[in-house]
Amino acid sequence: MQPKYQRIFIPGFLLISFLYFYFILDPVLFYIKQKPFLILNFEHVKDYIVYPAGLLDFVSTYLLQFFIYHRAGVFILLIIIGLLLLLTRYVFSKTANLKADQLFLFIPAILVLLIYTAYDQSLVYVLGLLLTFSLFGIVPVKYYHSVWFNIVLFFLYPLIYMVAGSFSLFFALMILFNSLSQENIKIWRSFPLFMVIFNALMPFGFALLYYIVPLDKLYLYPVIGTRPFFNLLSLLILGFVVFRIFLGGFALKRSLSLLTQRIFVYAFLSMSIVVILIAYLKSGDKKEDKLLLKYDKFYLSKEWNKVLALYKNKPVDAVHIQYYLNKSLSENDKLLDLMFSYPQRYGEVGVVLKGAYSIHNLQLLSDCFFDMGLVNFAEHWAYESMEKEGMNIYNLRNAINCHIIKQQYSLVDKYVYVLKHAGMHNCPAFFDDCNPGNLLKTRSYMPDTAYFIQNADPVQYLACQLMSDPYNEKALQKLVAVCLLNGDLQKVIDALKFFRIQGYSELPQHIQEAILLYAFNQKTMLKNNTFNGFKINQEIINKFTRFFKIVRKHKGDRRAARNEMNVALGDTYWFYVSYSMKK
Amino acid sequence: MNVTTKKYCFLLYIVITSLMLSSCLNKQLDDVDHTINVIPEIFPDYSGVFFPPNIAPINFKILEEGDRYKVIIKSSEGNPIIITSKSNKIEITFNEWKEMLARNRNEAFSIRVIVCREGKTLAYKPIVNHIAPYPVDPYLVYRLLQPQYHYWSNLGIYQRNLTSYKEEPVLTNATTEKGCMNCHNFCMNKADHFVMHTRGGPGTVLLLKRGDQLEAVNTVTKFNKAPGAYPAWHPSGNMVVFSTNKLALMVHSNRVESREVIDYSSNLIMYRIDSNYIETSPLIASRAYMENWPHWSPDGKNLYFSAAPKVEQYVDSVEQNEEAFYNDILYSIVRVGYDAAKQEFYGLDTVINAEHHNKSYTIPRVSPDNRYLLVTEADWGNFPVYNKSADLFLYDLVNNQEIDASEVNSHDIESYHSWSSNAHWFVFSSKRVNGLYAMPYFAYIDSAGNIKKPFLLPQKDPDYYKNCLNTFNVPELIKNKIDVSIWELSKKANDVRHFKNARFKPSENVDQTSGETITEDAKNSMYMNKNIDKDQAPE
Repeated sequence: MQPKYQRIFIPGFLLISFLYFYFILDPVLFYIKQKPFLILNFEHVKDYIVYPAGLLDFVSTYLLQFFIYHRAGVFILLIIIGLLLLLTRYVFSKTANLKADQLFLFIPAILVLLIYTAYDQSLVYVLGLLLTFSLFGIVPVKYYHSVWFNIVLFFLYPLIYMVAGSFSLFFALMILFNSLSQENIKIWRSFPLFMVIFNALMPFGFALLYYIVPLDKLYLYPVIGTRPFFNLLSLLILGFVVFRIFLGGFALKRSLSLLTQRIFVYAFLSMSIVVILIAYLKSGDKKEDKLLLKYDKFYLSKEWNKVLALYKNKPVDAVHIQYYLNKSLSENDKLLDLMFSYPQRYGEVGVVLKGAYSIHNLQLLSDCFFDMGLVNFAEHWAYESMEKEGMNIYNLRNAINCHIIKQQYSLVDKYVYVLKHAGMHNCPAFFDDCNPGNLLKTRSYMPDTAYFIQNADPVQYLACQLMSDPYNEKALQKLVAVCLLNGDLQKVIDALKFFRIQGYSELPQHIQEAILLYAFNQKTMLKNNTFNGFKINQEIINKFTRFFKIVRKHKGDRRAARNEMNVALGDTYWFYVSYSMKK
Repeated sequence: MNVTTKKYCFLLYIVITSLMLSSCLNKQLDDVDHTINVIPEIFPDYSGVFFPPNIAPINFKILEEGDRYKVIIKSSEGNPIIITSKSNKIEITFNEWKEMLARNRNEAFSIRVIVCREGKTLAYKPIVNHIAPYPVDPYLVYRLLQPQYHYWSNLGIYQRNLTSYKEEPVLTNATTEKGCMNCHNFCMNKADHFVMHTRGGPGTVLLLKRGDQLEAVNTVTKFNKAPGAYPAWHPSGNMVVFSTNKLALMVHSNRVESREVIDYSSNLIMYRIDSNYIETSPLIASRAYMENWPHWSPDGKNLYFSAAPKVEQYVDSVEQNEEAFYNDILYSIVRVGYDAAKQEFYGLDTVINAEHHNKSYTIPRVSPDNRYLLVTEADWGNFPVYNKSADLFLYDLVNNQEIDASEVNSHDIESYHSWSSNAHWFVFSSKRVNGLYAMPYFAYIDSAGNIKKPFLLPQKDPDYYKNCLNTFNVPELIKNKIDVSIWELSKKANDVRHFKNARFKPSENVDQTSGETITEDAKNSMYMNKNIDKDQAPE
């Protein structure tokens, strides 16, 4: 490779990688997706040592923790790509001197870049690759390795296998092909070559051994083979590197013409790119995955306006997104003013989550109950989340908050100790909610009434919450929202007294709309545009009149009425009740 | 105070502090400046405790502030053990500790803590502990799992050598497709006679080890749709009695312990190992009562269990939910005689009557010398593990009287317990440290029946319990190490095709078609508050 090209290409490649990581990829989404959590204590670390590639898993989890900070994530990814590039170059420089290396040099790094379009991908894969290349870089490259070298390698393989997992297969094959690629292979039956081949097959033997014994699930940690896409990718990288070394080795002695090499090189390269592209395109719903993760990110970082903005631009039809939307409105104190400006496809579940709907996001259930002051249920789901989704700073934060509120300080002390060993106790996501004001408020919401959650429906426990503390704003908002969504106008009217207690001078828009509908159903006239002492906005009354005009105009043609109403009155409660509510 | 003066003051402060620190570091902690007449706070609380003469070194953490620490462990025989440390974690040398235990059996020993703080050497009042004359069974088997509700992830059953710190897995769910496993139980503390269940993984099965024989038995029959749950080995080793339960986990709205387990229905069944038959009797499986937590007396002549009227009897109306009655359910401790020759149960006797005490009694465990009955007492229910009111309750079976067990009880939950084979030690789960994570405590009971202050299972790292995110569940003491490997157990648990199906053998008191017991009226008349006529009991 010519140094002058490298001077341009390598920094250029790194710059492109940086821009990709910084502006397109968003490393925070890796964190959101994987929620890595690592306790730096031998009792926990030892769990990582017992299976092949466990150490890689350990380092990967440790590094991924920093991805919660966007810049730290970009920096780590860039370092990894840079190292991979340099190691590839070093390995190639040891094995060959082809001039067409400029393109070859970047292939492993490009392939790795492609890996990180899937946010569930940990760093195990790329760390394994780095380790393999480093090992190969250390090993002297020659066709004839001494007996001692092979013997040492023989005894080192179990260790390499435990550290690098299936990547030791890479290493073994690189050694094998390096030896086979040399011209001077006349001693096929000689001891060194036998040892080389034997050593190369060793890791396969280990893999087989671990497969045969009953602990296969525990010990055959499939670094290669987690998903079809990565299988393919692994084979490509392996095939490419081995082929490159093989080709390079022969080229030293056999002087293949540059042209032949180029044809072969470019044919291989083109084929690789085509296969990768196909695999990439077939690898599924990454765009949607990214969008959902963006929602998660904004929700977890409590950027409510960004949730609303994202929903306006890219709405997603999913229960938890509906919950994010309503939660964002609630946090902006706009739930009862604007909730029907957005589709409400999931009824009460969009406001108050239920277990069956959120089985894949138990942490969300914990958040939802904590929000209402149902601390025991929040604790319940925080622990369920720890079991099902693994301990992470979000469910641990919820557990700690619940225990603070319940004055279980020994437990708080224990978890803070754990967090300090995880190195994440300074993380902003953790401290957002842990302020005394928030906790005191939630504590004041704790229910006085004894019941089991399994027996209570949302209206029941929200009503209990309000009876326990009539100033519980969240419970009032959610109770009324749930009643509106269920079309239970009588309960909305019953809840008006709590609006008075909480000092509302003017009712939120949707309540006013509900009152008008209620009055109409009850054939009650409003005196001076007031109901139970609350003034109804003239503009809303006018809208209601218009609503009826449209209904009358279309004389039972629901579709026509709906189409006309959708434009002008689509954001009203009447529209929801008439055309969207599931009955 | 101007800026310059402030600077000088700050410098002076730094110099004085440095001098104090350096003097402290240089001191050998031999000359005590002050004696403090209180015992130091240490974790775990190893003060006024009886230790078995075969326990591992009791490493602990000094919770008093200091820059350097010195600990002198003195006994009447042998040299004192002296430990100096910059850390407040005190780790005792294994050999010195073992030597001290061996030479001072049935003697007291003291732990003197000296702390160097701010340049001064402070000596605390010595902590006095005792070495009991009797050892504890050397192995403890427990299940480790995270505090749970419905879901589980990683869990396993482990055995810990109490004479060292070595812990080994017996069976973990890493090898059984992440299934659940529970209810390990041993026959007379023998390591080679045990049962345990696995469920939710490859299959629901009972792993039964008896001597060299290891079997996987499916205990579901037409009588019991649910597999056997809480087990009790008959001392002969030929039979295991199980409860069959219909449990539900509920979550309280406003209790500190948010979990509640309600048993809607339970019975006892017998599994005869040699004949592979499941049997039952109206005396242990009634329609009117819920029988639970079985346990055999060491002579095999009595089966103890908890019993309470069926749930339906607490419900006033169909609409009534569990919150209306869950804390009315009280379990008594009942025993039924067993004639091994005839293979029959006879007579019933209420040993501890729930209504008399207005408490619920569960997990009966008779001491191996047949003298004491240790149970868990709580304000209600069958599942004391989640009941803050749960305490241990000791009953003298010879004199028929309660023995004061307040020494082992705390403000928090004390629940599952198991006796050492010499009847002088028992282990129990307690949540006293933080209210959520159960930890194993050991208590000594002397020949006169006095219970001594319990101690927490020692760990090499005194911070172990702070780091540990698992709860110690179902601690059982055994006399030897379990020798069956994790591989063999996993293989049995995973080999679904070769599970042995137990068969139901209806007795004359059991309806042959429905499998229901049919003589509950006769049983009810003799149940609860009625003592059996001992003269009529077969020998």
